[in-house]
Amino acid sequence: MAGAAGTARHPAQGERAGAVLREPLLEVEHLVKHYPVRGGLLRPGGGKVVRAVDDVSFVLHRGETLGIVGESGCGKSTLSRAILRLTEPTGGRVRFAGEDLLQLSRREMRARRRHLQIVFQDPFASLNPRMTVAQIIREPWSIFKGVVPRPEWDRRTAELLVQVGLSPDDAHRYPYQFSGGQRQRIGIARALTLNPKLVVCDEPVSALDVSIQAQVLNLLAEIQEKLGLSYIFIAHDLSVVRHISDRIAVMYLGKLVEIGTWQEIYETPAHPYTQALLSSVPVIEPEARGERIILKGEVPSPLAPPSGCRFRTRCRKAAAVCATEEPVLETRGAVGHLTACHFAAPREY
Amino acid sequence: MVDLNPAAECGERPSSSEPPGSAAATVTPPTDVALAVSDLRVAFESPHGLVRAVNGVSFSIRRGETVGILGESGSGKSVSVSAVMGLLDRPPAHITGDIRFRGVDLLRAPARETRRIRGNRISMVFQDPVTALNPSLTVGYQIGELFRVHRPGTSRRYALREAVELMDRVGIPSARERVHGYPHELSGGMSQRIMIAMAIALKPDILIADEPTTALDVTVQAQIMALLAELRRETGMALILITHDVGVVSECTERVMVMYAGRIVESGPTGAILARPAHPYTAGLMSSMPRAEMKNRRLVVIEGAPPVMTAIPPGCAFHPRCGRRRPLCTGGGGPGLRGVAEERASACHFAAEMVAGG
Ligand SMILES: Nc1ncnc2c1ncn2[C@@H]1O[C@H](COP(=O)(O)OP(=O)(O)OP(=O)(O)O)[C@@H](O)[C@H]1O
Ligand SMILES: Nc1ncnc2c1ncn2[C@@H]1O[C@H](COP(=O)(O)OP(=O)(O)OP(=O)(O)O)[C@@H](O)[C@H]1O
Ligand code: SF4
Ligand SMILES: [Mg+2]
Ligand SMILES: [Mg+2]
Repeated sequence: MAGAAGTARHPAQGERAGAVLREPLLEVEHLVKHYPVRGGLLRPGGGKVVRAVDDVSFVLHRGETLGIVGESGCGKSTLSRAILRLTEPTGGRVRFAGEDLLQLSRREMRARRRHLQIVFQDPFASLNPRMTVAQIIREPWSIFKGVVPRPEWDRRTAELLVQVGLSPDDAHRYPYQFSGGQRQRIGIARALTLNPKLVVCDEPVSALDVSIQAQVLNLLAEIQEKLGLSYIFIAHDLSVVRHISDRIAVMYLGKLVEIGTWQEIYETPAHPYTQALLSSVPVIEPEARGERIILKGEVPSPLAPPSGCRFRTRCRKAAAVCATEEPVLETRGAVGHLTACHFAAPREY
Repeated sequence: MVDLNPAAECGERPSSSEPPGSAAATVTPPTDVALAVSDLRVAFESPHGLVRAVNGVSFSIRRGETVGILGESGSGKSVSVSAVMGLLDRPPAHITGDIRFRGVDLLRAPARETRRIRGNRISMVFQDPVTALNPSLTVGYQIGELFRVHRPGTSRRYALREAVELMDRVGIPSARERVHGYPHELSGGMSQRIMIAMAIALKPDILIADEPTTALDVTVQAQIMALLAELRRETGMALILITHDVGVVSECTERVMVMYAGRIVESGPTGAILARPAHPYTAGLMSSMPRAEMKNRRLVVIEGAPPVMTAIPPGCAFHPRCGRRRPLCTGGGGPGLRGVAEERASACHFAAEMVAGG
């Protein structure tokens, strides 16, 4: 873990000066998650591991939304699952409201779950097909007794359904009777049942049409204003991420490569990967976009990531130093936010 | 290592920007139609009454063309194409209308005949990659099985080699190792790419892709769309692309159909529709997009709730939510899909006004 020593400075430094929301809710430090690989019958995995999340540090403040973007398979879902201990991290620390989650027993952890909710990427696999929508929404109330008193259940269920753009009549239907987008809204309603402090949204709106997406994004913003909760918001649609996020973290092959306010990331991205990503967004008027940077070469395998900078095999700026020295996530030169590139600089069009 | 090419995403972006009349669309030789759907209706029995998911959908797809389907979530996009693919159990689904692939009546032909078409000549990428893959079989086995089923006599070794090659082609790193992996070991986007690999494995005439790229980041998305464009050029494959991403529709499709409450409410050349929608629902969609100027503001939403499919409003189904509504809109059978401009149709009484800029 070459990066561990290098990134020893506190990850909160240099982030989001002047923001109102300075109180940290979640502090992720050097988080690592490796998956062992299974081979075929004739080719055992040979002790190889997928380095899905490899030394990631960041801070999320109360009431703040952190967007996470990055290539498919770069570890966004794994990162969020490791934070919530839905998958056990291989190493690192996760402090939530000052408490180290990784030190908690399973039982203690279960009690914290009330405050840590997730909306999953896949609305199909994440809803129990044998439960009605009402049962799905109420299940948490019977586990965490007293959050919503029983006489309130009907009213609150109907209210939640309306809030996410469904109808109270939908309460008695089963998940298979809904379209993809409708199921995603059931998942969102379920995540909100316990008034959590942190909601991880893993691709929560990608299955929705833009009008309902707008409705859900407005809803998430309203709830945040009302309850002051924080979001980690993972999405591939970069205009959605820009809209909802206060800050944005860009991941590549298990590492954070750039993190900053939404203006810093969208207006003056300084990492070559972020620049390529932003230039690839499909838009209605392609003429209006700057020139597209097409990433060449294969996505490297997370089983054997490149030495030095993991992006170097596809980077237009790569030089000798990139193969030998891992770039630390830090502010450099004229770039005021954190980037992990030896040659970080705003793009010249 | 940088290739600056703005149009690389979907190959050349065709006919929509050509002057009207030059496109081959006005006189379509019948042989050119790969798929013709007419007056398709699908209803599901449910304890609350009939769910009228698809209410008279007609369209045809020509060889080699790319058609986008945009629309409200729950408007019947997936159900329509599931009917084409024969994926709906009857009952609870009731299907009427006509679906023809090169003249073969897919709703009525014997199973032995439709099996040769579905999954082979017409294939589909599903909206839910995770549940569409069998969790207990390796991905390599599942890709290989396609060859064993549809190309009898294929050897195990050949099927495995093809599987690796296809996985390479859709951009899965270390395909050789991952071919032995199981679906749960893949990220969302990788399962999606496996689904795409399976759908193109047999070089279909028509590929139906239901939200194929929503789970993919924009760089991989660009790569997949370029791959599909390449297949279209190589094999004349037609592509039906269901997506919520207006940007993808704009960059990758020639024609688009917009669905609302089980009907097509607008159709025509993509560029023309996005520049000037002829239906208030389409216009509403466009104004809901999270553009840069909307940062820190509430997004524009289409007022009101989506229709309940057991009780679709009379008249124009969109009327309870529509800003242009007049008394005329609220009763009767509602406006049908009618021509409004060159190659364009809309199901709104005021379509002509909208196209004229009113
Ligand atoms: N249970 C698992 N066993 C082995 N490898 C896994 C497992 N889960 C994820 N991986 C691997 O870890 C890496 C990161 O996966 P992850 O799901 O976190 O990516 P992601 O960024 O969420 O991608 P996407 O945008 O496609 O959802 C991938 O290479 C994936 O194949
Ligand atoms: N098996 C079923 N039983 C009852 N109703 C169903 C069934 N399958 C789908 N529906 C209903 O049919 C309607 C159309 O669903 P469909 O899946 O086609 O929507 P869609 O346009 O693909 O939406 P999305 O964009 O959200 O995927 C929805 O109202 C849905 O609730
Ligand atoms: S027909 Fe009437 S209600 Fe329907 S979209 Fe047009 S103006 Fe609106
Ligand atoms: Mg994911
Ligand atoms: Mg669908």
